[in-house]
Amino acid sequence: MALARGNRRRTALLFALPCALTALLASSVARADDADELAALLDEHVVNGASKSDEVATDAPGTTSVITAEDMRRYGIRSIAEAIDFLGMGLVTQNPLHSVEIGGRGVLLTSDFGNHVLLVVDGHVLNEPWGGTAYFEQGAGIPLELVDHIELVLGPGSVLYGGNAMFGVVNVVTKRAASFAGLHFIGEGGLSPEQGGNGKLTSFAPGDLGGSYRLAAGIGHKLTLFGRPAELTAQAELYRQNGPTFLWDRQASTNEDGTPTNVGARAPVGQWGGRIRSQYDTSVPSVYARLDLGSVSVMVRAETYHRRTPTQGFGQLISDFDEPRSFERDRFVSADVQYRTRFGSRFTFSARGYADAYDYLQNGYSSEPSSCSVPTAGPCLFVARGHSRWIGSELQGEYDWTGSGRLTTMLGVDGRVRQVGGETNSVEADTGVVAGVEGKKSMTELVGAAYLQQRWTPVPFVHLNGGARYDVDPRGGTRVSPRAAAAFDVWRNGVLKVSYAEAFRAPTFYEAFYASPDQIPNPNIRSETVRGLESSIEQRLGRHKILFGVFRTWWSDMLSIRPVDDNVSQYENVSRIDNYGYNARTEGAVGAFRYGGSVTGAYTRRGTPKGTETLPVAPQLFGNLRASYTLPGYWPTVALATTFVGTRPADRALDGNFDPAPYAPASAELRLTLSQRVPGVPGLSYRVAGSFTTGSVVPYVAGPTQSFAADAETRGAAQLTQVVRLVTFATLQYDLPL
Amino acid sequence: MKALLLTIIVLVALTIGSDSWAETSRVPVHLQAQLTGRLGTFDRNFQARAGTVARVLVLHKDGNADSVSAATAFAKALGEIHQVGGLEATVEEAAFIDGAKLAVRCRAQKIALVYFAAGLESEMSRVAQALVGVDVLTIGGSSLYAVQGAVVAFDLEEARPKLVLNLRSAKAQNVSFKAELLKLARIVE
Repeated sequence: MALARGNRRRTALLFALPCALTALLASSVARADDADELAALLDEHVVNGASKSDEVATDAPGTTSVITAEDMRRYGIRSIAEAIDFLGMGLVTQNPLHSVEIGGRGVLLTSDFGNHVLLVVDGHVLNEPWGGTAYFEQGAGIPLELVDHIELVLGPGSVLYGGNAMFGVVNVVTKRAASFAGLHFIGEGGLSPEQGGNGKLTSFAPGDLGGSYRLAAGIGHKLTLFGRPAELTAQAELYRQNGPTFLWDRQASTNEDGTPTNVGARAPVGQWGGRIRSQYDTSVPSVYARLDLGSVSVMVRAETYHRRTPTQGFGQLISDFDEPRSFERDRFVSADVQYRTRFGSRFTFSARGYADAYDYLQNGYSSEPSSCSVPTAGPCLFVARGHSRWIGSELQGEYDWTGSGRLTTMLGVDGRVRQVGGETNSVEADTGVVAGVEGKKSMTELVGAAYLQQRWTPVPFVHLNGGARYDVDPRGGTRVSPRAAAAFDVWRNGVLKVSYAEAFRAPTFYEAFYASPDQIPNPNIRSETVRGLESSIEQRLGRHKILFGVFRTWWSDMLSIRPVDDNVSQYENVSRIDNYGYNARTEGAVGAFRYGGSVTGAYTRRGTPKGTETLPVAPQLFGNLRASYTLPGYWPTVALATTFVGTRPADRALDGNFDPAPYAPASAELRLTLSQRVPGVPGLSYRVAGSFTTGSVVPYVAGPTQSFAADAETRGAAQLTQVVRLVTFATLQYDLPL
Repeated sequence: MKALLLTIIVLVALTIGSDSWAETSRVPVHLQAQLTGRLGTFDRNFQARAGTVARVLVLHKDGNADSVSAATAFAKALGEIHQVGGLEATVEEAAFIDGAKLAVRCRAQKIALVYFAAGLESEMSRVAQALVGVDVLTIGGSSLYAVQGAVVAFDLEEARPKLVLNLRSAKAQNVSFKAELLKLARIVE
């Protein structure tokens, strides 16, 4: 009830703000000259993530930010997560030295693995159905040189995409052959100094440095196949990272019976901590290829994501300290075939067939035999496996009633078969003999959906978009996800938008059916849902743009893992989240100088049966600022970007019994990048960058005290996970015409 | 997997007999129309060519649904703008026949601007040859048009519209662009 108090007043206030801004801006709009007006038109973004149709971003329903390949190159971006943090608006990531966590607009959920953001690449959804997983760091396996642009579609987005699109949709569009013509060879290397406790930089000696490298080869080529024009774009790459090393304070670690835990040879018995040297690395070989042939587009993608995490938690609770035999591995294989054609001048039809396979493996090596669910005679290997395979088809038709694109109706159906399963094994680590198998389960499910979208521009300055999607999912039941949006060209180059949308996320196999020593299944859990209302005003002044928006969201039936008794937990629909806030963005250019920035502020509260509380980990204030200048001739382009987050409560701030409650302080990361072609060597270009983070920790408790312990005695101060504070890297790219 | 294989076979079969989607411009037609409306002001000879009213001819390929659809939508969008290059505009849509007939029509009817909708890319080089010496601004809906000889074409790069200019064709068709436009465009020969 506390959450509802004052809601109407706040909502009214939020939506009055754009009107006030409207009046303010109306008086200040100046008339630009013809060249500025043309340049401004050429600066308009064309997007298709919000409505699955190509449209100008200002006409699209909801708020869309576009991150271009040029900006990613210019500002030293190496992953989708970095692009979101440094160049996006409304979404934010946190890096617990594991796969990054993504959230937005004041909500970020721990151990989410990208579950609440839909990641789409060239129309193909990457979130898999075993754990809802989608990665946004290098583990995404999407070569950045191949990316044309990334659209961040904010707000609930199930109306066209179905589940997972609760924060929004990250729509990655890869380049056409013309924009990636020739052969491309990329080499990239990075270094980071050794870190001591609390993020201090302790050694720059060559032998103490952590490092990463990336090797890639790509091709973009136009050709003729079967007498038809065709385009091939592809890139294969290998990314590897090892270190830096970290120093962790010692923490006492005991077994359930109170005896000291044997945490392996690299730390004293019963004492987790010391320097991590062998448990922070990543390896991601990946390949992405697309062939466009006439009206058909074929995509294939494959990747393996292998990683070791230097803290306990995030799937590695059962591991010796600094144990190289403990790791996680994800593997993805995807194929997608799309066909589009037109019947008559007004009806467009598209068909898409897709097939994906995914598996997950976690190995946790522990010298403590009792760590496995079936105690072993010697050291134990805890092995968790999950897999999902799905194949399906989406048919979509769009009818243009007027022949001018002003009144169009889109109707689509999507059906798939998915097979999902998993198991947990207890293995004698020395011999490989399986001591026991728990929770082995595999199931085949049919999932279907139908959606309808109506776009209407009754007069040139009003753009309406309404629609709904009906999803049938055996997990979580059936859902209808509506959306209604309107964009008004209120005056010269000013656009006011209002939208309402809903989204849902069906429970994953992991949440509903996974069984392990610590977790029991709960097949009765329901889908999470979110409703969102937002409004924004965007004004263009020549080549300068400014946007201010407000939002209000209501999240229901949120799933959390809760203890059932002393030893086991299960997922339950236990909470709701209520939040509101603002986001603002500006970008522009004056000659060779470019700038941009965004800020998002939110007020978020989670309601549980116990009462109302803040939401751990989720930044309530975050954003970025950037500026670059292109120097003449062979002088480099100089680009400075920063991303910042405010103070955040740690993941165990509310239930860890730490004193004081752990918080990660406000932090900013600054990145300076120089890029240019290499003089005298046609086709060769470079990029060098240095990145420094002012904060030393992220809001995730590290070590054995990370374990849930609501009834534990006060445990003193928590140790938080460090950030990699200083990174320098250089990229060389050689482009060879074909 | 059998279903996927079957789907692929069916799609390949459909592809061989279909028009290419790959060449279709992804710049929305109403944005193309807005850009077209402004382009005339950057052509020093546009007002002298057009006189008091800018006559615009929008061409499509007969029997090509994509082409007809794009042409119709463009003509309507440009018609709503009313002005091209600062002059009142009249817009007419027609099926493309050949370059020679187009040249005759441009001269006879004092056409100031011709827009080629998707589907006519393969005709463009012959059209450009036929239009040598004809005072007319030609615009194509995708970048391939400029490569093949249209004076201006629209492309989409990194989610932004891009102007592609063919200066050889511009010179041959008495189009003289201001430097401000050249700075904003990609040039092809």
